[in-house]
Amino acid sequence: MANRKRNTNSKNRSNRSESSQVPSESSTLLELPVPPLQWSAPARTIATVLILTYLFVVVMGPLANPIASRYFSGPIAKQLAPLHRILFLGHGYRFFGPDPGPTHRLVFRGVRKDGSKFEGFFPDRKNQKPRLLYHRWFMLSETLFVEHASQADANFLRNRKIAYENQLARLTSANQTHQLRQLKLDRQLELRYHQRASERVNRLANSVANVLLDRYEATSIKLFSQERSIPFPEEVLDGLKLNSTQLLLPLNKIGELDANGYRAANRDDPQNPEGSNR
Amino acid sequence: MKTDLEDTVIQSGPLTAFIHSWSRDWNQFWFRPEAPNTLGAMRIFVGLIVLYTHFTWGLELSTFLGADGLLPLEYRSLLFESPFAWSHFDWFSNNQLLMAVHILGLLMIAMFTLGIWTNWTSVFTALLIISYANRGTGALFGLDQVSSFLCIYLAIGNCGGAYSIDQWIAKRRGAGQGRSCTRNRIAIRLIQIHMCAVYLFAAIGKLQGTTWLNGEAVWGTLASYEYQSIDMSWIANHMWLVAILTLGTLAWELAYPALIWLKLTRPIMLLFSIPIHLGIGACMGMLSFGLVMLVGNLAFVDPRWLNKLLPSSAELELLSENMR
Repeated sequence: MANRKRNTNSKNRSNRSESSQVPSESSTLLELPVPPLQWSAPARTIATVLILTYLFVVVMGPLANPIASRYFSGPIAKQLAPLHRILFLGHGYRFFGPDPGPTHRLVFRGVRKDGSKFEGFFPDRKNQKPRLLYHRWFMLSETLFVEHASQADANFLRNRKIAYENQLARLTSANQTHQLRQLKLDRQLELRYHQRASERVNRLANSVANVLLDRYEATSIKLFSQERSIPFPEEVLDGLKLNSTQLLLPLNKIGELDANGYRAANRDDPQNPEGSNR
Repeated sequence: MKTDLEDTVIQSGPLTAFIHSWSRDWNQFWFRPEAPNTLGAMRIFVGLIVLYTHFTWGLELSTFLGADGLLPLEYRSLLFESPFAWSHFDWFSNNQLLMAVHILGLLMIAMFTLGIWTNWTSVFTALLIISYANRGTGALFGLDQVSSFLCIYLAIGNCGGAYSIDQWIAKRRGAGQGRSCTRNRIAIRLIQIHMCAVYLFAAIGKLQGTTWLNGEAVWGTLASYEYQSIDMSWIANHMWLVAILTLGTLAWELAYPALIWLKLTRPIMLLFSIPIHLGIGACMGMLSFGLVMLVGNLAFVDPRWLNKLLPSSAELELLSENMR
């Protein structure tokens, strides 16, 4: 850097003729004299090992998130997870990928202590300012949607159970002990995954409901996720506004909180989605 | 005139010559001493962004990060299934104590931004950013990811060696602040490589979709009401422009990790980063994210140019040092 600076330094320019070491104005960086290294060879070797290890840790994050190879990046990223957590690395960096999708807001409907009803939603650009704070609420509503959507419905779980039992019977009759063990292990992991997904969304939704309950001095509150579609350009040219309620999909109930505690919505309930604020 | 070492290398064969040349280039790439100017400028910009980011957490601190707030501790535990996603907020359940700790944190970040005791405040700021990010799991986005790694690298380098109160005090005392050093070089290289990784995987993610390839993705971002901060719906009348912006962004992100290293193309890549990130920031309500990405790109800016904009005595000291 210092040598690059030397090029533009007028004092040095005047001394150009005194030494052939001083580069001309148009010289490239490669032609500049190289400053001496400050670290010894063993220090550089240790640093090299540390740098390469660190870069491996950095790159394994996006290589395993959101999609991981079962045989390579997945198992490695699992081993590196403590480092990723400690240093807050391991992100996928897939900003607006693979496609910019619809957005989701959280709608809540409740009853106050005096019996009056109220309704609201977040993110709410009118009441949540500055913009960065609005964006935090926005990301929270997106997280709630993703967590809620990642739960398996009863029909899916039923089909998975049938598929497992069929496979189990087939492998048992064929006496394939190794595959049988693997199948049981996979089934345990699958069940644990679904259980964890439900626990996550329930914990998060419960906390959100509690905060809203306090804020509105309410006795009960229901939470819904609501998707807003992206309009086609032709619709906008025909006069459709981006905040039009026509773009809002029906409410999808997440759960409710009252004096009896938090209850997750029954995803198989034909009454859910309930209502729409179109 | 050839040196003894060069003679030995040539006599040893092409493989040895290649290894020797590679080793020399590696040493120059990672370990050539570097002035603190770039890191000093980045410290100020990152510090200001992070100060603002954390100030806004404070507007609803207990609502988001309190023990009874929106983001329960159990959620993070269930998500990561790891005790390593640490946060100092886990130790405080009292909301007043939480606010006191938050204010101390803001003071720490302010000291870091100004360059006071920077060797220490840079490390504590990096830890603070990570801690907030871990605690805020569920309400985070790219801003938190990028600002955290930038802070880590600023703590590795001597980011207080330029444009700082530390440097000003040292200069008055005649001490040797602001000299070029190897850890500055390592920090800059880590920022550069991490920025390349961010753009590379952002581009890979986009290639998995269809709208980035059919040229409609930018419409999807501009027509999203929740993101919108400037009404850009007029662009529906000019979908050719949407296609250019979409494919241009994709091409730029794909090319960035390679072309940013070439002297000829680096200014072009940096030039394009300005409208792209400011555009995202202004149109999609993520100005802080757009700005922090631009600050990350500063690592690639020619320090001579930076020194013209922000003259520093650190650079002058470096010059005299390297002239020896």
